[in-house]
Amino acid sequence: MTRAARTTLTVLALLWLCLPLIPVLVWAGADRWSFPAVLPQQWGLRGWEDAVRAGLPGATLISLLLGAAVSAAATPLGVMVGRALGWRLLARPRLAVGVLLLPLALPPFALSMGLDVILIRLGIPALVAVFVLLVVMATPYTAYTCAVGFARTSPTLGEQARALGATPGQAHRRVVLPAIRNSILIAAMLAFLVGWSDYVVTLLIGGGRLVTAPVLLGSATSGSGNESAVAAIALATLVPPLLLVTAAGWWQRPRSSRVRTP
Amino acid sequence: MNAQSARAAGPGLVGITVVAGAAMAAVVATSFGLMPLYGEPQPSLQGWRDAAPDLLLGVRESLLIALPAAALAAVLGLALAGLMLGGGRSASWVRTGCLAVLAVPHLVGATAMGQLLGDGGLGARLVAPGLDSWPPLVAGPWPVATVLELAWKESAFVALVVLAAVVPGHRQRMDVAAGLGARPLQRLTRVLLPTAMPALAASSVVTLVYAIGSYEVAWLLGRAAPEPLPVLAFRLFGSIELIDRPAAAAAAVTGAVLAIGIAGPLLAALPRLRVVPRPTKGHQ
Amino acid sequence: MRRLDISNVSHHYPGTSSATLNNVSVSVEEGQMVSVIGPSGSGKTTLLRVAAGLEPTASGRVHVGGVDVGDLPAERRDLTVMFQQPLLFDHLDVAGNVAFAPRLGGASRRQSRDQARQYLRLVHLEGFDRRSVHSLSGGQQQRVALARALAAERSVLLLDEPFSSLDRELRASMHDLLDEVRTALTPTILLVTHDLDEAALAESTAVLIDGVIHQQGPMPLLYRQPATLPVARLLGGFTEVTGTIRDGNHRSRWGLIPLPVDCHVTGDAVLLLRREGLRLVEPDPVDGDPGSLARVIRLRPAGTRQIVSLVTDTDTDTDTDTDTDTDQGSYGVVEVEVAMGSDVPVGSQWRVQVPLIASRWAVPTV
Repeated sequence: MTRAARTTLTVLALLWLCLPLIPVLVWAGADRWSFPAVLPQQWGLRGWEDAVRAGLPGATLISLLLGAAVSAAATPLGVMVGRALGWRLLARPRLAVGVLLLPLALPPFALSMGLDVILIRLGIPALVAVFVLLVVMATPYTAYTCAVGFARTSPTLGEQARALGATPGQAHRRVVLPAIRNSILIAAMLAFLVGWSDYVVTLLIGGGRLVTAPVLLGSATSGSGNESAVAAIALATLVPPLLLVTAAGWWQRPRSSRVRTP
Repeated sequence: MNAQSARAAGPGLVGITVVAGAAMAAVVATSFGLMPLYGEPQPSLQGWRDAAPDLLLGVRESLLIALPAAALAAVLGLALAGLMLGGGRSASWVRTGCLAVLAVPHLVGATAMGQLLGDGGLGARLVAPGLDSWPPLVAGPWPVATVLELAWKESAFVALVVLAAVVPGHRQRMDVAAGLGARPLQRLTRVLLPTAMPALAASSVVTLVYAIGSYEVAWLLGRAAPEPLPVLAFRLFGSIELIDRPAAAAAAVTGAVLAIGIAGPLLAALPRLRVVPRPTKGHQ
Repeated sequence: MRRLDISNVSHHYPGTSSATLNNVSVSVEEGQMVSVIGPSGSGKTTLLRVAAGLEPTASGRVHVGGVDVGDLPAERRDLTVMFQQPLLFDHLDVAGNVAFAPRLGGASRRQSRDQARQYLRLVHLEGFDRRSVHSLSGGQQQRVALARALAAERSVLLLDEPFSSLDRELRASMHDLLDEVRTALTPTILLVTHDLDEAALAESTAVLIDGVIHQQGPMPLLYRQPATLPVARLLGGFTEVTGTIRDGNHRSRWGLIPLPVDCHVTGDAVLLLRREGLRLVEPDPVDGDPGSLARVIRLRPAGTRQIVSLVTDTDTDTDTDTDTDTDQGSYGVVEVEVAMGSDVPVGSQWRVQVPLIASRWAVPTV
């Protein structure tokens, strides 16, 4: 492929990936942007002020806590399931894979509805039900990520540690887990994303009382007509996961892979 | 120790089965009137009958969104992966872009698409000064904006999954193929594509199933009627009328059956699908 | 089958200052096999990749059958490569892999699979056509890779350490297989390897060290008459004695040792003594051959023999003009091969004799 062709394709690819986010960026800094002007007539941060008034800081905090909680619960579960899968310890791995696919295949709104019905009957607090369902939905991601990490690590690593005097627990903590540290971090990040980004479960089960950043965004974007505030909330909902993912991606970047053949 | 480790997977797997199973059982029961909000359970098909006309339209609309979105995501994702395989600076730019898109919550993506493709959006401002000439991509007769948003986000997902599957050993595979006489196009079609196929297929199935079950994108960017199944179910569920509940559940069950009905056979039909990569040989 | 000529090829990897290949030339006659040996990092694999067209070359030419292929991409050169890893395509079964090149050439699926079966028979894998590549052992995979390369029916076969990942026994059986293939098909082969036994299968061996060819010739010749010290060290089994050569004799602290007539080195030179040619005798020699007094410091097994390491003391006879920097009462270590079970305890003293003139050679001091 010629240099020019590659450059053109790269530009097109970046355009495809970045274009949708551009209006949000502009709106977030626009006090007035009447149609059909291409750029705002008046720049400003009034949208952010409106967003803060609508409860953005609180919603962001709740989203952070929810994301962190889901991550804290789904990651250890993922490690345990991932180990059994990656080291082929299960008698029927296909069954396990099928189970893990359930929360991915079943529509979130169906699961939410069912859980909502159950929680009313059993008197479970809505927050707990939201948390539990999000953990269930995040675990397939964490389990798969950890499984890939375990598959790349030899099971004899832990045995080696034990031959040097470590108890099973020590072998696991000091040798095995550090070996798959990268996978665990990615799994934790994915679980956080699931908890942070969720809309349906939080809204349906939470009944609108659990106001996370996405829930706030949903109500703003479908009603207010205040595009600047909507854009501000959208950006606030976007930035933490974006930072997390790009940080992880940068840290994980493939090192120069030029093959040095002797 | 192996048995112990295998058992450690129990809580996670059992937990998922119990929660998902109970939730689905509850939904199914509700659809048949067996779990009303108040009063005694009364088995009946009323919910299904109420929902029936909308259900068919809902299935059609859901597929109208999900199939093009998955197809577009597959094609674009493959193209993005191919671009990243070339290496160099453009590869890392594109990779960063894909990761960034992956991080965007769907609701934010839908909001962004709305502000891009809507009547007063950036697209309209750039292309057509007069309001009338901009096509109704949002909430129009065809779910264009919905499909584009889903395709946009999922193309990044597909690209990264395919890339991860193909990159190990890519250079050597290409060298071997060249050494056996394969020209560049032949290397693409006879080696690269077949190698990428399992990952491409799996990620496309995931995309398809996700798109069937996706609520917020269709809700924000789609038109009022007909509603895809998630939007239909949500609306009925939130209705004040209690009798709408079983209908809502019926819509939810239909959506679930549609998703599983597609995911199950398709994934089972992928013979070379290795869900977990083969353990590294020679290091054990 | 056609001949391969690599002429004056130089190459260096971008970002490195030193050359990986420095004006290297190797030729392989039609139907012959030439092996290229060298230590890791010497440039052997790069040489092969340049010949294959997988690596651009800074300068030099590659000819196949007299035709310059330098401007052609890898797939259009009349050669095929087999790498160290089998690298079978796992989306194809065994026959599909072997049939890969014929299919590219336009053969129908049935034709190419029939052809594949013939080559599978050649490598003793009859009946394996429908097997998945993952169900094969390492040795079987390598055989499929060989069949796949042969099925491409190109004039030249380039082998890059193809058997180094196999254990000794498997490797030996692959060497036998290679002999069979050569008898059946007489391909022109360039074999890159670090295994000396493997290299010895070829009619001629080129020694590549630090990007430069030091010597090329039949392996026995390289053993008997290495051209340079690095070659001798690569082949191993020599004891080195520094000194100078004048009038066909090597002078060192060992004394005056005559060299074979066909050794034309003069001046500062390292005497090379093959250790299996050296002998240990009781301290008072009866025959007139010069020797040195030495003390055993170590014994180590080597197959069915033992290698005895001895430290020599300088002997009396030294001309003043053979004084070298090394002659400050220094002790050299010499290695001698003896039968297993010989009574050579550590600490015992012996005279080291060089009875056979053929086991001596000399190379210029580096």
